[in-house]
Amino acid sequence: MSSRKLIGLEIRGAASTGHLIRVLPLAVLTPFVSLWPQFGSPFIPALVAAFLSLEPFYNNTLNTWPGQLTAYGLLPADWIVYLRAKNCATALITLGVVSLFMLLTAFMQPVAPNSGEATACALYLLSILFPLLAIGNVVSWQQPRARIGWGLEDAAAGLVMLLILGLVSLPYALLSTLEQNEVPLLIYSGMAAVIWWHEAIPRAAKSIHERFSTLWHKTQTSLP
Amino acid sequence: MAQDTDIIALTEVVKTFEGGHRALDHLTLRVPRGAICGVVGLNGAGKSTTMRLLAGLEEAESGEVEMLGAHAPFRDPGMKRRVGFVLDEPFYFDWLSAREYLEWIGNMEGIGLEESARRTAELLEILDLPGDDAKLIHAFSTGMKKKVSIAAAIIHAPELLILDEPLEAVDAVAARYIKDALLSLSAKGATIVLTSHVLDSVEKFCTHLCIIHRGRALLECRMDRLRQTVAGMIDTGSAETLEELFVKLVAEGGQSPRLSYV
Repeated sequence: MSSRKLIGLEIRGAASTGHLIRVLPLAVLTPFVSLWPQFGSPFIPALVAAFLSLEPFYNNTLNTWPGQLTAYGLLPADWIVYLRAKNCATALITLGVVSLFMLLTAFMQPVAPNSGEATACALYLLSILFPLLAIGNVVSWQQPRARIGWGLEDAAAGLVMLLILGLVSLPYALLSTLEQNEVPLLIYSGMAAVIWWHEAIPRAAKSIHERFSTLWHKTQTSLP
Repeated sequence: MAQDTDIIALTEVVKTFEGGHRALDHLTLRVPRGAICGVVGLNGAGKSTTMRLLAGLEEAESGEVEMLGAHAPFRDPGMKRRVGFVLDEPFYFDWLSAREYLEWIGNMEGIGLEESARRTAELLEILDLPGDDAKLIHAFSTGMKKKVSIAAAIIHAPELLILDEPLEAVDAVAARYIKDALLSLSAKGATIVLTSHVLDSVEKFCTHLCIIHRGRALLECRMDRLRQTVAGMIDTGSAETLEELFVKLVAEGGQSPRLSYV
């Protein structure tokens, strides 16, 4: 089975379910919020909004469309294959959405953001992406939601996402205070990527494999 | 203990859901290799729970579940490739066209791309499904979706088929073709376990029967021994068909209640 095919399927599935519509209200609002000078960089609210709108793809990755858990539970592949494909698809969707938010933000700024701000933003994105994916895999099997929508549960999930975002931003906050911080940030991001791929995904896949029936049942009973 | 000839063996299986509802109450059931076994019962009798146990979605709280010589839970991909499933769930990948979906499933099930494409074309034609990529599955009728599910379950010619109400909502012609395809698979040695409420069809199609009632196997026999087996349990009277015998077995008194206003 081709992993590329599975990644493509995940992206098509994401596009078909309508969850990406969540991006739109935030995409409209964020450029205006970015005008507030207290944020330091106009891209910070853009990134936070992008991740917030993509919360289900991170923290509910096993249920990005109805019945997905059942379908993958019946198909003959290991969970590590699905999780890797899902995480890669989420990373690609994130790049697309973040690019959109940043372009809109840059367009709305009275003074065009400089290249230093763009580089800082890229380094920040790189430093939080893999920890977010790794934590999202754990949240996904521990707190599955059969449906994604606009209810209270989804609002609570958004708050959890904000907390996780704050947590995974700490290394960047610390390392960015260093002079010549690009290299340490790149090394940190590289290490985070290695841990995500070789440690976090296999561990989450093992947990899903071992607790699949419980997880499946929990998901079914979370249906409204 | 399962015998070598049994492809499925459930022994004293208990499954209780939240709220204390006991879906399976010490269910014991055997399906011999090569059988076409119809599992019938009233709504809520435990048929779908049994199917989900075999699919590895649910786990029994006690008892033993064996399938293809392995013990539950069935998580090994190699094992899953030997089985085809149709469950009573909504369709899962409905943003794909039928062709895309079947080719992908065939590939997932271990068939090469070319062979998967060849079998897909054949299945689409036999089941009268659109091969046009512009028509996505979510636009299909319930019956068409069911046909796609069945095609996906049989594309890799598995040695065991677990089918939960496979012919529900399927038109008569497609149902006939599906039954013929299942009979061909059976003739090649496949075992088929299916649930249905259409007892007439079960009686004609299946070689074995299991009636589940209130989570227990009320009756398990070869279809050609049905009358003798039931006669050993109750007074069958003039009951002849599976439907008549089934009603006598599971409905109190076996009499249809009359509507007072008709």
